[in-house]
Amino acid sequence: MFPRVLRTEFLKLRRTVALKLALLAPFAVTLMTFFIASQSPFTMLRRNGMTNDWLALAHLNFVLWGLLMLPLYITVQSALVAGIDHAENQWKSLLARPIPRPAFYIAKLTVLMTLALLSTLVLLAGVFASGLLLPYLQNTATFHATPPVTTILRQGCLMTALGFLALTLQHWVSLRWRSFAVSTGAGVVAIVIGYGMTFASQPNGAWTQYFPWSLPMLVLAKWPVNLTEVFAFTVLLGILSTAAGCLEFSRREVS
Amino acid sequence: MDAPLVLDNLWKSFGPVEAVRGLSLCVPAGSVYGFLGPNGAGKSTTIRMILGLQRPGRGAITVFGQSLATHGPTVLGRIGSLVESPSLYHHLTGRENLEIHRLLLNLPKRVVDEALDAVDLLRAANQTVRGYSSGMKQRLGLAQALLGDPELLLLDEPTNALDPAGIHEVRHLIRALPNRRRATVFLSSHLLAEVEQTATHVAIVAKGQVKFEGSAEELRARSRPWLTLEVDDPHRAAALLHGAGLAASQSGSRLRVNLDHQIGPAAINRLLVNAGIDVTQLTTGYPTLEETFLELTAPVAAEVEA
Repeated sequence: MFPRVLRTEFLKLRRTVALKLALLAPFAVTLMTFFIASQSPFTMLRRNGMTNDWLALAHLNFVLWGLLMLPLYITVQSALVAGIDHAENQWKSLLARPIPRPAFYIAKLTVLMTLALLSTLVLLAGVFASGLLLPYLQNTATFHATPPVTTILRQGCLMTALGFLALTLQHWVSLRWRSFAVSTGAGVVAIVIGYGMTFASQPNGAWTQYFPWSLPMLVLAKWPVNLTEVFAFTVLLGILSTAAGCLEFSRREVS
Repeated sequence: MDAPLVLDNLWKSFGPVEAVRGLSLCVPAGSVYGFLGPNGAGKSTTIRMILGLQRPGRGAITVFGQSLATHGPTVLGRIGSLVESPSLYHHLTGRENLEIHRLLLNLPKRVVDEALDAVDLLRAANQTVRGYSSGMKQRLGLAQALLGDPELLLLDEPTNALDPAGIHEVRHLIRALPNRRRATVFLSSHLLAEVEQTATHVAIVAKGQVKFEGSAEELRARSRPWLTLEVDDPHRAAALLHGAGLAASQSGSRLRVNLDHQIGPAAINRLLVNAGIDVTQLTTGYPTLEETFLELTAPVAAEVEA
């Protein structure tokens, strides 16, 4: 039954802004970093003692992605995906079907996770494409022939994965309130607090680093962080948040 | 065979407002059951409770002998619904809209084209709904409700936003459903003409309570016939009739009398003529369903105004 519900959720994405955003958001990040890297001396990117230009380029992409684009992406994408069913009050026909309500809730979350993964893959593809093109535009760039693929893939995917808790919370907010403004407004407030928490955790790390919207930036932390533990913490709390969201969604009355 | 739908002492409140107050009814199999009432009578709330979208405060809903509270998913699989305006994805085509519900109901692919054909939308199936007219959207909503040949079809104001031709078409389709698809139709409407033209059974609901339940014939039979008289002395005639236990309303030289089974038109005529009153015209008739509906809901309307 769940695969069928999931198929309907992917079918609903056709011709939507949400699908376009999944491609455009990471593309905008890679385009911007490509522009910066092609205009400035490449030595600018080799800060923090980085000697590998591939890693320096990936780092710039990941800072823009993790600090700016990913939190915004989670907020807007959750609101857009929920908005597909809030419009025209689709709930009165969907929830009158013989399907347990949690199936809809989890299917929508799965769609959001898939879109986030798709965006991450576009971002990573952009990093590698930029690295291949930059040596033709930048004399100071010294890219090795073989990029550290595993390290870059691991960092990129882990960064998005650490956004899981924020995604589950934002998903609940978007499904709970019909208004796009309420959903994005709540997300923006969380993002701003997240910036504060991220900066407050400098320079050696503090409890503020565990704020859900700040977690992705731990991938780039300059202090030692046990990312496996952080990942487990994110997943566990994300599952709890999803369970609570499912419960609320199942009890909700449809007007 | 279990009745397709039984509501037993259903209550629903929204804060201090009681939208449904002890509503009970029984929908016979194979009927087109008109659920008639003025706006705000609790019709849509009742339908939402039947579909599990809202929970009753008290009371029980039984569908085909099974409790909705304990057999929700099983029961909902046998129901098709169109609640108020159709819920459609405007960025998807008509076919894609039905495909979503086909997947949810786990039906074979062919049912989508069958449903589109039933509402004459096969040619527009691959257009996005954004380009559909109001009538086409309503028909697509109906196709969505008919998907998988549900045994019980709940239709809430199904002819909303339709032009006269569309209304005629939908009413024709609803009338044909019990025979063509062996479905029982529960049709909620505030339009008396709609119910009058399509329903075999009627419930009249006002302020969350059922005021009448029965067949359309029983509703008509319940309405007492009237007699209109044209007389030369209406004041004296009215007094005479009043003395005989008949209430008469006067308009100019005309009197209108509600008849009962004791005194017929011939006896009234004899009474007046014997008293020396000339009767120049005498007409009998039955109130329309509309008049009966207004009579049943009028006290409630007065309460609301008060």
